[in-house]
Amino acid sequence: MSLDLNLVALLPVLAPAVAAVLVLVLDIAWPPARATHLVVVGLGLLGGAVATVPGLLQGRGERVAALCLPDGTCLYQASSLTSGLQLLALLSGVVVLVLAWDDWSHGEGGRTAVIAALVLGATAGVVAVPAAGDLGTLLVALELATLPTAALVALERRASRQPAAVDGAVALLTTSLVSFALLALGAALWVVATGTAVLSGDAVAVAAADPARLSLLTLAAVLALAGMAFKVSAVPFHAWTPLTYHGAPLPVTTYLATVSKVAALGGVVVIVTALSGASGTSLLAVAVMAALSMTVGNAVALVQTDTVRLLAWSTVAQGGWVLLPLADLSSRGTRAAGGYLAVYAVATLLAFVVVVAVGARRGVLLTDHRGLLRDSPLLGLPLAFALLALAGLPPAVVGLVAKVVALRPVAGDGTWWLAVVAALNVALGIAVYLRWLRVLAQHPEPVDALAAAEAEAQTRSTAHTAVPARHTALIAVLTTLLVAGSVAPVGIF
Amino acid sequence: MTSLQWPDLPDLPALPPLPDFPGAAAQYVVAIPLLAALLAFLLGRTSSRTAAWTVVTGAVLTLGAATWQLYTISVGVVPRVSETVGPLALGELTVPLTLSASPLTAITAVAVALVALVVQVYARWYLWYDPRYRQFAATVSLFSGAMLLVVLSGDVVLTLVGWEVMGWCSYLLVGHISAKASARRAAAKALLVTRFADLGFVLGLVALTAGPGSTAIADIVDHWRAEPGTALTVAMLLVIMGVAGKSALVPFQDWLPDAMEGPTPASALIHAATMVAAGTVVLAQLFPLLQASDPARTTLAVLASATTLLAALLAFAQPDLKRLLAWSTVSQVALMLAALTAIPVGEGPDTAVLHLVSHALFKALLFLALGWLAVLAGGTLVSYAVSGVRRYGSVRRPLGIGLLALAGVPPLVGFVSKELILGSAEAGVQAATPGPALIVLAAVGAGAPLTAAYCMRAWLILSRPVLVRGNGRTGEQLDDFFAEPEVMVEAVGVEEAEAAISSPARAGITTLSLLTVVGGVLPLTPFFDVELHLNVPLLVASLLLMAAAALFVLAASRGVRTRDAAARLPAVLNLAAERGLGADTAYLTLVARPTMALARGVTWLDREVLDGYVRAAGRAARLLGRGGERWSPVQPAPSLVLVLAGVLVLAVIGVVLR
Repeated sequence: MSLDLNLVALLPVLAPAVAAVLVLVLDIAWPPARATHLVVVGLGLLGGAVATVPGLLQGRGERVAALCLPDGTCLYQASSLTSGLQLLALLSGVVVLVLAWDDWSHGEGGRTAVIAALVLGATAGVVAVPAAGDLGTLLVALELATLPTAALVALERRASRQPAAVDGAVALLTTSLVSFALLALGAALWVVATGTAVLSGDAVAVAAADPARLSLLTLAAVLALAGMAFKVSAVPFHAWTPLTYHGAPLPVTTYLATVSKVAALGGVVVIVTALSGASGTSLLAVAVMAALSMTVGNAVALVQTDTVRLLAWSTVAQGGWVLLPLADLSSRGTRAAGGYLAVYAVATLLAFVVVVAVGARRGVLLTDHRGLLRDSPLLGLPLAFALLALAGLPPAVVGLVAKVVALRPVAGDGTWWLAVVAALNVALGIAVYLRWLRVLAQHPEPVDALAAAEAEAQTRSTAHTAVPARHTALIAVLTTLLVAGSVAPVGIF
Repeated sequence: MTSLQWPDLPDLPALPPLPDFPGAAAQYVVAIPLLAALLAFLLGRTSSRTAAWTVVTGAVLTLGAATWQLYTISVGVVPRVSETVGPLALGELTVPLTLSASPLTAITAVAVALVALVVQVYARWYLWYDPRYRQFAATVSLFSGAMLLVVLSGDVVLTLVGWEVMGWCSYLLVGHISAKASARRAAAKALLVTRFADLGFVLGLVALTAGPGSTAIADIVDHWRAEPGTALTVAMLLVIMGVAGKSALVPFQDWLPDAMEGPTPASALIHAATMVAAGTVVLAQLFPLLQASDPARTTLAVLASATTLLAALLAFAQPDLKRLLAWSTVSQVALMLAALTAIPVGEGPDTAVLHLVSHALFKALLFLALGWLAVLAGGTLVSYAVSGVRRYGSVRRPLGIGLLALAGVPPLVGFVSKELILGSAEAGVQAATPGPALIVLAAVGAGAPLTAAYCMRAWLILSRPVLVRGNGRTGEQLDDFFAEPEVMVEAVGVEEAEAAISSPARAGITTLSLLTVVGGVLPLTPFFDVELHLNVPLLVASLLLMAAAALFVLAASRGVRTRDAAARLPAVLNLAAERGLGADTAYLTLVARPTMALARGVTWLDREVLDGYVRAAGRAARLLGRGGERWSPVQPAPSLVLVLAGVLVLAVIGVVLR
């Protein structure tokens, strides 16, 4: 049996994977190197990002294919949407790398190399998921995307936070293992129902014609989606999210909240695209998950007092929004979900970068952000803009457009109960982010003279812990992206 | 009854053809004042002089354009239709937004433009020291532009635009002296009362438009004339409600006397040619529809007749001469509307429009002259104005001419227009449906002596001989504690005071006086197509009644120091008249208080009931959040249970409920 490799098409996946091998070789050859590892990570990620460009430029219906079998089925297929998701994941990875540079380049023997290899491995998995053409590739890629992150969570440098980090890692690991079991079960049932491990629309259409096989196929799809839903943090598979987000180092949390989400959505899109071969089916399970995620995520986010936990729960809610258009099982739905994810990822990255920057000076509690808009508008304004984009309020028009685009397939489908739940959650979401915005806009008033003196001392000490230039650059780039998207929200959706 | 026929006049010589200007005259007439208002507002920010030049130039050009239009109408095609901003695309509704000029609207436009010009010139003098003169001048210009739009409108949408702009401008003009609480209240009252009535106007116009599916007045008239009925009656009644509001008919009459709180030029503009007369203009445009609906016609006849009599009675008892003029406006405008209902079917609204023009001339004259006197004498209360024309001789002629015209004394313009109304009402009584005409005839017949009476009263007060010290009675006077102080004639001071008015303003007043005197020839011009129903016995009888009323007032004024015949009335009546028979209180109790109570009720409902749900939603969301926070697992094990339970539920949902 001959396999058409087409390695050029595989470059987005290969670049980070090869970089991971390079890092490990480098570590053996020259142990004291630290920053060099991170440079290699950056190069690997950027190389992958550049390699997505041909995929991005192709038209609707075209595919960049690799690993093709003689019968013409390919185990790696990248549409323009897939390439967009890959690019999003790789660039988000770069942002996380820049954000974590200090944290990762410090540390005793080999830690940097391990982290670098883990990040590259996980990212290679993330990039491979949306392009998976068969169930085997999907399973392997998804595991590759998940397991290294559990190790990343556990690799907390500060001793005081290590127990929480280990708790978070265990929660993530156990959930991912159970989910993998479900996914494997779903994959097995899928093979039984369609008779092939290849995710092909034709096979699904044949299976859907037979009522008994259709039930089996639906069950398989539900199990597979449930197996991947934990990565989107969809309710009821969300329980690990607050634990892990809170316990992990902030850059890793950022990674989980953005890059990992791409893998999750990519997997769901792969399954949904295959299912769309069976016309007339819709997945109530996805709709229920979306509705539950939004409602529970927003409601719990409303009572949080810690910015990281608030962002964690907001991730749950936004996961619901990403799943929302997929309930329709159409290509329009998958594009809407991809666009929404892009907006969400940029806004969440920006929020996390600011939270990291503020966390270094003040803390991560909501009260630590009091008066940020007046104290340091260069941090406060971008954060406010990111929160507005997440809430979907002008002037962050891009968030509003994303929500409208996500709602359109639902409204077009006539699933009114879901549209009503989504509309209620728009209001609830606004309440969540306005709570934070209000804190940002408050007057930074010291309670008494002592606090004033303390504040002054803190101001003097912040001279030393001024925002690093890297963070400022990240904030500038991400804000520019959001503002540009708000001025002309075209091309994203 | 004998009826005289109008002698056949030789046709006027044909006018020479006109030079071609781009666009129709009507476009200039409407655009120039609006543009002048905008320019005055923009350029006049810092300089009253610039603002004055802008608005006066605008007014002169407007008058020129209106005169030019009159000229083109007399030689050209009638009606002359012209475009404004092009038709609006509103689906099935045709909205051509055209202007339409006929001889009647053209002559009305000239009258409006003339009064506006005189008022602008006068206002420059009257408000010389007013820091807000610029805003006033721009508003007056906008106001007159809106009125001209209504006059020349060929589309009810444009009519509505002009109508509403006038309403808002009247608010600004009446409340110009905004430091005065009474002026603010009067402005708000004028706005609220007329806007309340405008509800009917808008609904009526919408109903009229719904028939032909077009907002062009010509289409509306054609459509409804072909199918009169209940729908037309309802629509016309609604329009009449709006007209009653702007023209201050019962029961909306009380805003108008209060509007005297505005500066005198504003009063002259609002009362003479613009806002109050707008109702007459609109109904004249819809005249065939008014004639096609007898219930609407009768309703208007009853309202207008009641108003003209009531207002004439109230005018007689006012202690302030400016308020006397205000009530006389109510009475005279009601007379125009009454005339519309009395005209026999088949004839045009010419007599009503003639009275509109005639009233515009003499009422503007009266207001401006009285404002002049007020500046000299310090006020328009009877106690200030007494002997006014004796002490300040220069106001004697304008006030005298104005009052004579108002009373309807031949051969002034007021006499001509009123006698024509009387004649057409008398002819209407002979027609098939004499109801409205009969009512109007009675009202006009009774109104003429009443008008003569209050004019006589005003004149007696104004022309009372001055008590001059040393005119031979000093010996009788023992003390000046119980007697009226006698006036020292200070000739130099009087001359200086009289000279204080600017010469252009004085020229404007003189022009109005002249036109009031010679305006009687207006019905002979080709612009009016008056069917003359001259009933000589009726005419003589009405003149005799007027003379008798005047003599009665003269007799009653004897023995009163101020020669005020109304002082013979019981104090209760005087007070009641001054308060407009308690209409203000009635507005408050019948409309304002219930509305406010309703509003408070709705606010309560909103706050306590509807907001309750909103607050509960907020609390519910927080409770849900706390619950979610408490019940979300903090250990890996329970979270796995959650995952498996979730899968089970989803699988059931997915497979069973698919």
